[in-house]
Amino acid sequence: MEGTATTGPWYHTIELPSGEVTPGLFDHRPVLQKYGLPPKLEGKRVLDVGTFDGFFAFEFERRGAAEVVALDVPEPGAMDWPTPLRRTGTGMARSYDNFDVAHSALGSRVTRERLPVYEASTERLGTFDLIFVGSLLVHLRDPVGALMALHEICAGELWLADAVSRTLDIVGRGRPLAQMRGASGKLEWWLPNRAALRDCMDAAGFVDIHAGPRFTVPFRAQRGGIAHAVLRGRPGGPVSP
Amino acid sequence: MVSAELRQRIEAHLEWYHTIEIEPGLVTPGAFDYRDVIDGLPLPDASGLRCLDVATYDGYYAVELHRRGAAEVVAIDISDHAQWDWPPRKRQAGIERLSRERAAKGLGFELVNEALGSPIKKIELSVYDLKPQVVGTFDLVTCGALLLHLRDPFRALEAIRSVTGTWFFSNESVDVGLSTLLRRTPAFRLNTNLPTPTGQWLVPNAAGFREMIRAAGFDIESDSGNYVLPFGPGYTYSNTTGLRALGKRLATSALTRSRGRAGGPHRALLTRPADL
Repeated sequence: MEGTATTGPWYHTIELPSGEVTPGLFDHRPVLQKYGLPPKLEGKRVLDVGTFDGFFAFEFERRGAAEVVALDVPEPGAMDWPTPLRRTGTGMARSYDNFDVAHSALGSRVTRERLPVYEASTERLGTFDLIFVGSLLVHLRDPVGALMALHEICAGELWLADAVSRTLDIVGRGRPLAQMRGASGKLEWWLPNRAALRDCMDAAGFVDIHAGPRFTVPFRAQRGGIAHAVLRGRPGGPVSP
Repeated sequence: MVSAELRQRIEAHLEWYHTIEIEPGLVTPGAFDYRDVIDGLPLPDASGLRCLDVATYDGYYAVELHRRGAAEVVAIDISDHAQWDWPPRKRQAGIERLSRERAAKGLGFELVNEALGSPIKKIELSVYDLKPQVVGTFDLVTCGALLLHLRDPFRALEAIRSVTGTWFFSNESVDVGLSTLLRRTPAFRLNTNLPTPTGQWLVPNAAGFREMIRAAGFDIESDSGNYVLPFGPGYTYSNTTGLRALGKRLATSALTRSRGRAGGPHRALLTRPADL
């Protein structure tokens, strides 16, 4: 791990050409098929939102996307800190420099944009055939606001893969519920059930929403991993009253 | 004594949200009637205080603060139905429905304030835009049943915190079923996809309401517990007759000791900005 050891802990598990594998907190490799993402992305302009170390952005590049843009916050202070943690919390934030390490090791042509998701706009980023949002909404104070911004730049499909609550799926029996974790200190705001995640996309203006089943993403810090679901939808126009 | 002309305008007003006793014999027929429950809520003594009522609607809390001896009462609210936080695809239909079914925003407040001799200073301002540079700071801030109508309630609470000197009194809708099902887990019901667009976003359980207030940087000093805010004659937002409504009322009654009175489950918290 000579080239990767000095950059701080890895978030994503990424296989580098040298045979090295970055020691990520998350390992998406064994469950990547469950995301159901298109195997071929030739000719597509793709946006990876909340890219972190870039696992998905590099994967989209590998699948032949014409252009991949990887979006993340400019610095940890730009994340949605709850009021009680704003002063102390920013110190616990992880570094975003590993992206550059992986990018250079892979000889990648992915473009990096440093912008809070709420500020995504056609002026700043253009439009995309495929937008992927992975494990991000759980960290946002205003998830529907973020999806509304992405709706504006979505010319094809939005794929949303995020943590979901097994308990609230069961307790809710189809009702949209979300656990609120704002004061937990972990910079997690909402843990929705699948129905609530669906309704967030609906509220933001997406249509033809398809919600896939729950599956577990392996996570080093939590035995049993983290339950996720993948949803996808298309941008809808205004509804006539 | 309110003039016959003003009384007539009050009686002809299209829609009342709050039941407010303007003078003996003149009561606005509101959707919500606090009169029997207000003494059980942790609203502090307002005498001599500079007070702000956020999202005042017809002005119930502003009037109450004035009557409790506040030195000054400022009330804010949005200026028209287009300023609600609408989901984009429901926006047009929502605005048109409210323009049809409800009075112009602020008209009820103006009638009440005029009848009382205009003691309240009204500013047309969204909660999101509250800043000490714009309105100053207040000894006591009240806010009733607003957060459920906001897409980003935390941003609103942050703005409220920026103008709160000592006390923030927050009264909100709570889901009593979810409060019982999940006693300790802060949870919210997402209400953006109801059959009729209601302009609602999130309704918390009891733990969720308390956690939201804490996450926004307030310490809770006093808590009313879940209670039922009685509907007044102006309540038309959902069906209150029929078997389903009766079942709901009985269940709510069992969980809040409301003795079967029709109303909406609420909870009130008295809080202070935490030392951070």
